[in-house]
Parts: sequence; C-alpha cells; structure tokens
Amino acid sequence: MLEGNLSDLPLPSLLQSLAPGKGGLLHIELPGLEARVGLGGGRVVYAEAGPLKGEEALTLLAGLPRGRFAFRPGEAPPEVNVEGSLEAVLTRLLGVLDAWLKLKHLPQDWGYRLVTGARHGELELTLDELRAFTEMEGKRVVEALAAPGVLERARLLDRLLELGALNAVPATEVEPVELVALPIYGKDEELAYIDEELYRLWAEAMGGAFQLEVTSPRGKEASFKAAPRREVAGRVLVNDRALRRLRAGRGARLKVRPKR
Amino acid sequence: MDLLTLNQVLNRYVWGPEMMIFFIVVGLYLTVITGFVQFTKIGVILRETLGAIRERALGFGGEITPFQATMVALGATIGQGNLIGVTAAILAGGPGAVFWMWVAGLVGMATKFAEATLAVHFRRRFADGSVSGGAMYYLSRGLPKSLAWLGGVWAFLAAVAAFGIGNLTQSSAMAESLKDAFNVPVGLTGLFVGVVVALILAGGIRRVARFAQAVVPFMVLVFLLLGIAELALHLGSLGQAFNDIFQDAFGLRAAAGGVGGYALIQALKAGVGRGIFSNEAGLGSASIAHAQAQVDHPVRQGFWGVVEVFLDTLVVNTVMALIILASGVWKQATSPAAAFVGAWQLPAGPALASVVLALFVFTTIVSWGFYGEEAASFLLGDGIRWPYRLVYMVFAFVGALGGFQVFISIADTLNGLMALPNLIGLLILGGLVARLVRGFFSGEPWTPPRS
Repeated sequence: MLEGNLSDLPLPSLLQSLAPGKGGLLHIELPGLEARVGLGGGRVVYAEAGPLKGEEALTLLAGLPRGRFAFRPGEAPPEVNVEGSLEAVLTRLLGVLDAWLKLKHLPQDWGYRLVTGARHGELELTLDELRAFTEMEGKRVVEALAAPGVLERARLLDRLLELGALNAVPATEVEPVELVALPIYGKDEELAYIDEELYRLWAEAMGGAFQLEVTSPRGKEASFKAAPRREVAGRVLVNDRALRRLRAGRGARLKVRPKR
Repeated sequence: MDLLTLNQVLNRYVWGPEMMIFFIVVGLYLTVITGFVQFTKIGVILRETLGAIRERALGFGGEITPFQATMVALGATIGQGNLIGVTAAILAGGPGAVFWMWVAGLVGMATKFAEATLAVHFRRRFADGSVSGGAMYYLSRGLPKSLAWLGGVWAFLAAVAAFGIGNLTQSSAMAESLKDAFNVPVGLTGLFVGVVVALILAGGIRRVARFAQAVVPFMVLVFLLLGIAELALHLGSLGQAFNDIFQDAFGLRAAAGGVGGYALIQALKAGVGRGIFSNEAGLGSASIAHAQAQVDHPVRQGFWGVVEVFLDTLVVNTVMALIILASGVWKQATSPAAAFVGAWQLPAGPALASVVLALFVFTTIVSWGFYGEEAASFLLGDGIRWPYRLVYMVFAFVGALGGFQVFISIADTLNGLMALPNLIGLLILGGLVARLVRGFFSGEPWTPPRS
C-alpha cells in the first residue's frame, strides 16, 4: 500500500505513476473532505470528492495543495464516472492545475476555516461575491469549494480573500477551559479579560480578535469581547453586574471558550 | 534633660491628644478623598473579602493569599489591647468611650484601606518571586525625593519597636496570664514562646501566614463563643449597657450632675485612643503583611484593610466592652487587669479568658517578628534576617521573665513615633489612593510604579 501526502506528490504525478500498474482505489483525506479515485485498466475510471463526482471531483482534487493519500490495490471502484484515456485525463488535469495556480490567495491548507475578515471600512462586492461570502463564511476552505462549479467558486473565494472580506484561519477546535471568576467594576459590561498568554494562544487559533463564550456552574451563558490582561493566569475577569447575571460570583469556576 | 525624661515627654505626645487629632484628621481626609469607600462600597468590600475566603489565589504577584495576609495583620493587631486595653478605656472614660471607639474605628478603616492599598502598589518584587513591601516602601518610593528618607526612619522605628510592643510586652503578658491562671512558670512560657516563635519565623512569610491562617480565626472564634456565652449570662443587662454607651458618649448623664464637659472629654480621649491604637490604623505596621498578598489590584487588598479594622475594633473590642459593661465590674474595679479577670463569671471563664489572652499575645509576637524582620532587611539587607530572628527569640524568652521597663518604655515611644512619618506619607499619597480607587471601579488594570 502506497501512502503519502499530496504536498509531496501532486495528484497528476501520482496518477501518472499509479495508473499503469494494478488497479485499485486511491483514498485522499483531509479535515472536511474524503475523496476516492478509482484506477483500472491503466486509466482513471472513477473520482469522488465529498459531494462531487467525476470530472468535478478531479478538478477539486487537482488543486488540493495537501492531504494524506493511501492507494489500496485491488479495491474496485463502485462505478465508472471518468471517461477518456490516461493521457487525456492528465492533460485535462494539467490545464486545471494551471487555473488553480493563478489563484494566489487560497491558503495552502484547505482545512482552514473561513471567517469574516478584520478589514475595516466599506467593501464593495458583486452579487455573486456577496452570495459566495454568505455561503462560505464559517466553512472550511475545502467544504466551501466542494460544490458544482469548483473553479468558479475557487475564483470567487480567491477574490473574497484578496479583498479581506474573508480570512482563512486554522480551524483549531478549542476545548473550553475552566477559569476562576474575578469581578471587575466599571461601565463596560461586554468586556472580559483573560491572561495575556492565554489570549495570545487563542488569538492565534482564532486568527485575530475573538469573543469569550462563558458558561456558569448554573448553566447560564454569556458572550464577552475578549481582552488580555497581565498576570491573571487561571482567571477570567468579568464585570460584577454581568457576573451576577450569570448567577455567579467571585471564585466561581466558569467554563470559557473562544469563538469568532 | 536625660534620656528617660525625654522619652517620657515624647511618649506623652505620641500617645496623647495631639497625635489622636492627627490620626483622626488623616482618617477623615482619606475617607473623603476615597469617596467614603468604607461606607459606599461596603457590599463590594464584603463580597471581595469575607465572601471570597474559600477562594485560592491564582497567579498575581505576592506570596500569600489576601486572607492569609489579613490574618497575619490581625494576629498583630489583636492583642492584649483588645482585652485589657478596652477595659482600661472604659474605666478611664466610662461607657461612652465605646461609642467614640466605634467612631474612631470607622475613620480608621479608611486609613488602613489606604495603607494596604499603598503597600501593594509600592511593593518590590524580587527575581526569586518573593515580594517585600510596607510603609517603608511606600514612603521611600512614593513620596517626593526630599521626603523619601521618611521610609528609612519608619523602618528603623518599626525594627526597634517590634522588640517592645511586639515582643517584651506581649511575652510578659502571656507569662503573667498563664502563671495566674494555671501556675505555669514564667521561664517555661518564655522558653516555649522563644523556640516556637523562632521556628515559625524561620519559615519566612509562608510559614508565618500558615500559622496565622490557622490560629487567628480559631482564637477569634473561641473568644467570640466565650464572649457570647458570657453575655448570655447578662442578657438582661445588655440593653442597659447600650443605653450607657449612648448616654455617656455625649456626657448627657454627667451633664445632669454638672460635669458633662469633663465626662465627654474623658470618654472621647479614652474611646478614640482605643479606636485608633487597638487596630494600628495609622501606624503603618499592618501594611507589611498586606504587601505580601497575591492580588491583581492594590485596591482589592485595601478592602481587607477595612475588614481588619472591622473585626478588630467593631467586633472583638465591642464584645469585650459589652462584657465589661454588662457584668457591671467597671463600676467598682480598681485596675483594668482586675476588671478583666472579674468580668468573667462563667465557670472556668477567667481561665479560658487567660488562654484567649495568651493566644492573642502569642500571634502578636509572631506577626511583629515578621514586621521587624522586614523593616530591618529594608535597612540592612537580607543578611540581617537570621541575626534579627535570633535576637527576637532571645527577647521573647527574657520578656517572659519580666523587667526591662526602660527598654519597653522607649520601644513604646518608638512605636508611637511610627505614626508620624506614616501619617505624613498618607496625607501626601492620599491623592494616589483616590486615583487607584477610581481606576479600580472603572475596570482599569493596575500599573505598578516603575522601579
């Protein structure tokens, strides 16, 4: 069984080396996508990538910068949905690859999540861009692209990333941490502070400013704009009135997690 | 004028009415400039202190929890002054002294609040994570350069006074009390006190704090339980006791006899004196303990200063005063010590009261040992700590044997003199305290002063 990563061996090269041999299924995986490419009789006969099948699936997979693959010889493809000789398929894939290479703003990791950009000021979007923005925001890059019209969607996404309307950030799933409540006073009830070190870690994971989702021991929830403060490790500093609305007080153990 | 006469003159001034007025003026100034913090923020203060006792400190600078720091400070302030001293105030000024003691205590809350706040604000943090702070630091770091020497003066006074007010006087009182109640030889008490104090001080602030955290709440609780049981015996006289306090506070009863003005002044002097000196607000001593607390903002420790005065003056002193008044011994007692012993009418009451007194003075010896050590190390560096502890241990031993009246008298004057630089400093730094309070209640983070 051959295993590796598409970042080391791009799909056209991989297919070129595998197709002449024994048939089987090439499995490709990355967060948010499972794909299979079927080989048989010295040519590519089958492709599936998430909801995409056939040529559309191959188009998506050709642009994939990285993703773990494993070729399992002998596994039969469920059907034939790719037509043409190996040379014809490879030629088409190289053409598609050229199109992908022109999209300079797509991230190298398609497992990244798309979040609203931190760009300030007004932004003019076409109707298609606006539609794409609404549809793609919150999804992983690969999930946003894995739909009919892959290249057109990729162009729209590239443009949105270029404009700063969307940002691609590591899609780290941050587990909630338990922090001890410390009341602070003042008028701003929407701001909560965490230790600057934790703030830095979460800001990296979230790709910029973030909110704190706080759950009290009594199950009450609230969101606060997060801000860093020095030397408050293990604490979350919440406005006294907001803390009381959470039915909690000083010393309460609150579950806190970052969110965009 | 020889040294002893000079000492007598100074002693009259530093513990006299002029100094009391200075204490009250500074306390009132701090009360006003902080927006009457001890009254207007009472809910916050209670939630931040007594409401958070069980909470473990996390992070922050400092070596011990805010609660431990307060117990160390309370260990020092709650001593024989809360028992014999309160009794003496009633004998000298009548029941009305209790009212003025409360008033002085309420004013003193702002003073102690300012001391604890400034102690944290100006404390020094060292590379090994330890901290050091107190009046000597806020005076030397916070005052204008031309007055920074007051920090050194205060440290000298505290380092020497610790041997008197914190050591010889207390050790002697403990030995006398245990001798009278249980016939314990004074030498044995002295040996015990000397060795145990040395063992506790050897562990630094962490061991002092663990000791105070365990013993101080226990002794206060025992005293309160004993006091409540004693008061239950005089339940019928309690109403009369409160009536006496309020009637005598303004000399109303004496006025009927034609000596109202004199009685009022006596009540004022005795009560205010006890309300000021019992909780040490204004001396600056407790700031050394508060500086060690793990807090994110100085004002949060300031709240503990308010609670410290509350527990010392408004709780412990009041219970003692009510026992003296309700028992009626104050009317015919010849001396404070006799009145104190005579007030306990529970079976084994005097013996238990002696144990409480012994605990009160023992914690005072430990806490003042730490204060003196910190003050000495401020002047002479860390190398002085062990020599200071050993000398302190020897004093604790010999103090139990009695004598040393001249040294005790001089140390008492130096103790009173500590208030002078401290109160001057508090007056000058009052504006900073007010800014810290405003910042805290606006949600602003604390920015320590640059070294």
